[in-house]
Amino acid sequence: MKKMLFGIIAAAVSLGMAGCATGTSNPTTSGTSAKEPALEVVGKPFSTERYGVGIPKDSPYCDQINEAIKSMISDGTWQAKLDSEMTGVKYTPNAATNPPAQFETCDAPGTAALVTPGKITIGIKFDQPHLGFKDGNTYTGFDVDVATYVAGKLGFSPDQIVWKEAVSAQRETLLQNHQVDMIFATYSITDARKEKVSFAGPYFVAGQDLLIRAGDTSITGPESLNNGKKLCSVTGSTPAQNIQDNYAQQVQLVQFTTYSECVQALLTNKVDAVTTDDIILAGLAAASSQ
Amino acid sequence: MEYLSRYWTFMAKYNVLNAFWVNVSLTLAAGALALILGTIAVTMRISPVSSLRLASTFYVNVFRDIPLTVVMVIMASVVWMQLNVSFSNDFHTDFYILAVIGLGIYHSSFIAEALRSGINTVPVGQAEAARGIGLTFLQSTRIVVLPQAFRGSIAPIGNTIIALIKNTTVASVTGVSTETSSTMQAAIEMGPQFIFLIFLTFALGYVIIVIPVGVLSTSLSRRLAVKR
Repeated sequence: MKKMLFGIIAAAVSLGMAGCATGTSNPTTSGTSAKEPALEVVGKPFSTERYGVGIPKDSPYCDQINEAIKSMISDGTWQAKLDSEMTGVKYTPNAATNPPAQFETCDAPGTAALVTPGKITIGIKFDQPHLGFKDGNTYTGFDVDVATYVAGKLGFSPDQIVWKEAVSAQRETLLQNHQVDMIFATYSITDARKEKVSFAGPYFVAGQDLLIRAGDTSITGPESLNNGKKLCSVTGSTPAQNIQDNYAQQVQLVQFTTYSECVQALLTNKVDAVTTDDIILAGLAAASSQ
Repeated sequence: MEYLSRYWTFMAKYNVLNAFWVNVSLTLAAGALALILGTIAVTMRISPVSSLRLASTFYVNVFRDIPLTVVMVIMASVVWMQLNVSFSNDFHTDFYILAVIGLGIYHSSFIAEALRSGINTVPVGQAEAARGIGLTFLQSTRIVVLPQAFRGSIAPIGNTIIALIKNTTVASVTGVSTETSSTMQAAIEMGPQFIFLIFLTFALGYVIIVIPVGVLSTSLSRRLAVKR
C-alpha cells in the first residue's frame, strides 16, 4: 500500500517535471503584454537560400503556382503579409533578391491526382513562429499566408486546405509518396533535392544571418565572433554546416536539436548569437517580444 | 553501382567512425556510472533502515518514469543554462559530462531493478546464515548476497546495456554534436537523394555493435549462473 502510494507520488512529480521541462516555447501563452523585442537580427546575410514550393515530379501545378506567386507580388499582398508577420522586429529582407524575380522553369505538367479529391494537402512547418506555426488548431505564418494565396488562385478556399507537418528530413519522402500535394516549409531549392522532387517559385530569398541580444553592438557578422564568443544552431542544419566549413577556425559552434533551446541559451547569456536563415531568425525575434 | 560510388564520396566527408566511437565511449562511461549508482540504490533498497529504503524506491520510480529525452533536455536547458553548472572551459566537455550523467542516472534505475530481481533469486537462507555467523548488513551484502545477485541478473543487465547503447543517440539533445544521430541528420540534410543508404549505414553500424553484446550477455549468463 505504501509502495503504491510512493509510486503514484513519484509518477506525479515526474509528470510535473516533464510538463515543466517541455513547455519551453509557446510564445502566445507567456501572458505578458507586448514589449520591446529582446533579440534582433544583424542585417547582413552571408549566404543565399531560395525558398521554393516543393512539388512531386509529376505535379500538374508548377506553372500555375509560379503565376500565383507573381500575382501575389504584383498586387502588394506579398509585402503586406511579410510586414504583418514581422511586426515590431527591425528586419528587412535582402532587397537585392526580394521580392523574387527569377522563377524556376517548369517541366511539362504531369498527371498526378490530388491526395484527397476536392481538397489540397499542403506541408508546412509547425514549429517556426511567424513562418509556419501550429497555434492550437490554427496555422499562422508567412509560409501559411503564401500557401493560402496560391491555393486560392488554384481554386481552393481556405477551408479546403489540409495542413500537414513537413519535418525537414521527410520533405522529399512526403512528396515522392504523394502524401502531400505541395510543400511550403522554408524549403530551399538545391540541386541535390531536384534529383528527387521538383520546385516552383521561389517565393522568398533568405540568407544566413545572426540573431543577437538587442543592444549588443559587438557582433556585426561571423568574423566578429572570434574572441571567445559562442554561436548556436540546430544540429546538422545547412547553416551550421556552412559555419563549420567556412568559419570553423574562428567560431565556437554549439548545436542543439531545436531553435527554442538556442534562443533560451541566447537569452540566458550562454551563447552570443544564433544562426540560421534570416527570416526564421526574424520570426524568433518577433516571438521573443510576446 | 554508380549510385553507390557517389554515395561513398558523399559519406567520406562525414567522420562516421568517430561518431560511432563517441557513442561507444558514452556507453562505457554512462554504463559504469549506472552500475555504480544502481548498486548503491539496490543496497539502500534492501537495507534495514526504512528511510533509506523509501529514498531508494522514490529515486528508482522517478527516473524510470521520466522519459530519457526529458532528462537530457533538463541537463541542457536547466542544469547548463539556468543553473550555470560547468566543469571546464570548453562547452563540448561540459555537454559530454552532462550527457554521461543524464544517461547514467536514467539507466541506474533499470540496473537497480534488475539487481533487485537478482537478489530475489538468492535463497533467504543465505542472508540468514550470514547473520548467523556474525556478519553485519554491509558485510553480508558485499560478501554473500550481491555476488550471487550479480551472477543471477546478467541477462537483464545485458538488456539494459543494449538499450543504453542505442539511447546514447539522445545525447544530441544535450548538445553533443559529433555523435551518430547528429551526423546522420547532417548527412540527410545535405544528401537527401541518399536517404535510404544513410539510414542503412547507421542501422548496420548499430547492429554490428549490439549483436556481440547480446551474444556475450547470453553466454555469460549461462556460464556464470549459480548452480543450486
